Amino acid sequence: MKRSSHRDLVALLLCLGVLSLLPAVIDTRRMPYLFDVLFSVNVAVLLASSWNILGGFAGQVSFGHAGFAGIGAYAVALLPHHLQWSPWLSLPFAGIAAMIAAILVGGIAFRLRGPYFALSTLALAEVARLVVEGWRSFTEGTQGVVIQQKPLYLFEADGALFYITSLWLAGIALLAVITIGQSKSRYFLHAVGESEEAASALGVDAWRCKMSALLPSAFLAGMAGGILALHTGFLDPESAFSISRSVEPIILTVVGGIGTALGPVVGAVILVPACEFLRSRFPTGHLLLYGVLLVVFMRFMHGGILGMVRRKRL
Amino acid sequence: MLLSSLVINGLFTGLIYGLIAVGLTVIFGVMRIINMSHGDIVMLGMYSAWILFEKFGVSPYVSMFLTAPLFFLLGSLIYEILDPIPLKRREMSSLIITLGISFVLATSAMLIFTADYRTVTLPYSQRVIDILGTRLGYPALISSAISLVLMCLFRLFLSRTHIGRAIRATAIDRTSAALLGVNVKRISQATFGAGVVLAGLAGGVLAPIYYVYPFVGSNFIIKAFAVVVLGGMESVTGAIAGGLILGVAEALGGAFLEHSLKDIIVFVLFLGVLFFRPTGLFGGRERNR
Amino acid sequence: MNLMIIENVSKKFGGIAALKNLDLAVEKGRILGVIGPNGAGKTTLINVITGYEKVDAGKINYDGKDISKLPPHVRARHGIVRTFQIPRCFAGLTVLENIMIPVLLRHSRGEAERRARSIAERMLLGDDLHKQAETLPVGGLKLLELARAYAASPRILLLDEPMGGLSQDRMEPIIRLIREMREDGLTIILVEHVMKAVVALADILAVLNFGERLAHGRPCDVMKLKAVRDAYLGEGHA
Repeated sequence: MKRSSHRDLVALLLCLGVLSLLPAVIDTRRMPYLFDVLFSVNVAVLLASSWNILGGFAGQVSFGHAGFAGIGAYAVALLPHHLQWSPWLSLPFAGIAAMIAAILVGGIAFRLRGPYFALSTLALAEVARLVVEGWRSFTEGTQGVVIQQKPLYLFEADGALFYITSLWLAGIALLAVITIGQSKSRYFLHAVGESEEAASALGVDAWRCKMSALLPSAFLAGMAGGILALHTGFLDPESAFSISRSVEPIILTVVGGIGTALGPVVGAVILVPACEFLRSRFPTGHLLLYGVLLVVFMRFMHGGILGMVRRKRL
Repeated sequence: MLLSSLVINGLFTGLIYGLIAVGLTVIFGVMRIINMSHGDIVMLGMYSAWILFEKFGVSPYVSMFLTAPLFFLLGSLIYEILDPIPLKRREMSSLIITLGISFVLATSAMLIFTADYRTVTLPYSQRVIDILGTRLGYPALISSAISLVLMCLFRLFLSRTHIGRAIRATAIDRTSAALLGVNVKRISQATFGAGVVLAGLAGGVLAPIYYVYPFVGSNFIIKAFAVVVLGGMESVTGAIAGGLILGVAEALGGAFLEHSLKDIIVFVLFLGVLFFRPTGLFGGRERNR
Repeated sequence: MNLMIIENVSKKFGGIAALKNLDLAVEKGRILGVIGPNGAGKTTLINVITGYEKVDAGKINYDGKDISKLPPHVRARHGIVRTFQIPRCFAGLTVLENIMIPVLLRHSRGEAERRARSIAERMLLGDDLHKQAETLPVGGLKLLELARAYAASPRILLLDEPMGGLSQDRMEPIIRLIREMREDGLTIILVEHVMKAVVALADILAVLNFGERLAHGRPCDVMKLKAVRDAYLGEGHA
């Protein structure tokens, strides 16, 4: 088992290394659209992996990841706004802010099981949005905040910088997922997800277990929100906390394969470009596709694409 | 506004909230399925009322009953999707599947009707009536009254008819109901149909008093959850009570809190009840099978 | 020496007393059988001892300390381990992985696997190691429930109807396993409906009725009491 963990790690680093060279081969200024799509794919991998840690490995289905993403986004927007920090340097605080929120969320929502947990996360994300909307003196309310796109030291804030940052953030998310997937805690998370009562009867600290999945999950979701905000350059509560940011990671993970490290990657790599294509032809058509896929996969292909591939091989 | 008129307003709105929630409650009670697409079915009810009003001039208060069979069919169809899922996985799977259905319905409405806000303006829309010093629009009054009547009728249906009793028996204990000769699958399907019809009817009474747009359902679903949680029971009475509490709380909150904070009340109520009765969301029989 | 002493414990569910001023004690290395009609408070007794329900009043002494404030997983780590009436396997994990869960809390993965394997062999699950747990038949699930609890290194094991719903020939191996565990020095509280099994296994028998202790003593003595026969045995044994 040790050996396979090293192998996965080397493969991951190799992939990241090769993919990092892309801007050197293809000029980002000549193909900005391509890099926009790649950026979207990376962020989708990041957000879906974050969801997968909590929803797939720990069995706690969250309907509120938009909340963490939104809080992360506002951290990136407000630190430069109030304290004149560089937007890029505030990026890590997106994750930290979301993690602090997660402590609160865990305190409330982890008292609930299954569907009740899911509903409470949905409500908590909405509460976060309403607080941001209402606290006008601090957040500018519905007016929104503009984020100056400043360069990061010598690097210009262009497609290449966004692409590489998002790529490595997605890499960090995958690293977290692989680490969890190969640690002992994977078993505890699974057990708690299946039956909290049975797990604690055996001595597993269910609350700590769930928290240990929620914190990294929230951190990564916050980072996703943060980098998205930087990329867009503008932020308002409506877009930052948009419900689709809660639903999209669920769809990508379910379609790719829930509870597997590669599931969200497969889902994002296939669906995000497909949706970009659809979006350019029929606006909102991509959302319809999302809905249909979610129903079809949950109902008929529970293991997702990876599950199908695996079954074929056996 | 006077306190009394706030309360009266809240009570009338609360009746409509109750009607929105009743369908959700009965589906949950019988199948332990939380139907995330409930709000979008309300949206469909609103659009069908709007179309029939625009094209044929039929009042929503009439057309809602004409379209009811279609909603029953829709409900039975959704049930067909959910039914084959193994029971153990059903609770979570159906939650996510109905979330997908919610997306499908809302985005389809968006593609068909565009994002424009529509309104149904009845001939008497501007007329108001004075109740204990509170001015209330005619449509609001009619909608609330119809909601109350529908909920009472549904309650009678559950307690007095054969099917209604079978539904209640299934809600209390599936296994025993099956042993007593209830066709649990047919009853579940009928219940789902009925729940969806109630959502459609709620759309009908909402059409004259609310804007119609594709994503309007997301406003209602959260309120419906709050009502069900507040009602604390899998019963029609609970939904009425929950609706009234929410309606009044919102009306009072709207008057005393800053505008943007008004909506928080729904969530605070929702989370508050969840928090203090962690297993008791819909009545606390979660552990019983 | 008593390993567990339940002192004057009461527990109410909305006005209805599930346990009323209950006193019970279990000696180290013995099996305490608990019987009683449905709703007598047997499962509630297990729930309060293991921390799934808080007591309204009274003390639960374990090894000389009051544990009634500790959460379930801490009690489990102190060696108070329960099973559930309806087996709750961890679906999606294999039988072996199910049994490994409690062992992994203390040992490395390799060691946990080795120990879990030997426990599985002993618990007659040796042929099912790599099956998905949820595919086991009821008898298998009951064994798994027992095996998993045993793997958590209990000092006192609380079994909630380990034989409920099993046919006669499926019960035999479970009775034998419980007896073996006792011979290993384990203390056991056995809540069971199947009379013959309890009488065969228990050193001391307690009869609960409406949350109160109706009788307590050696099984053969308790069975003779008229009150017991009326309250409980009347139905099936008349």
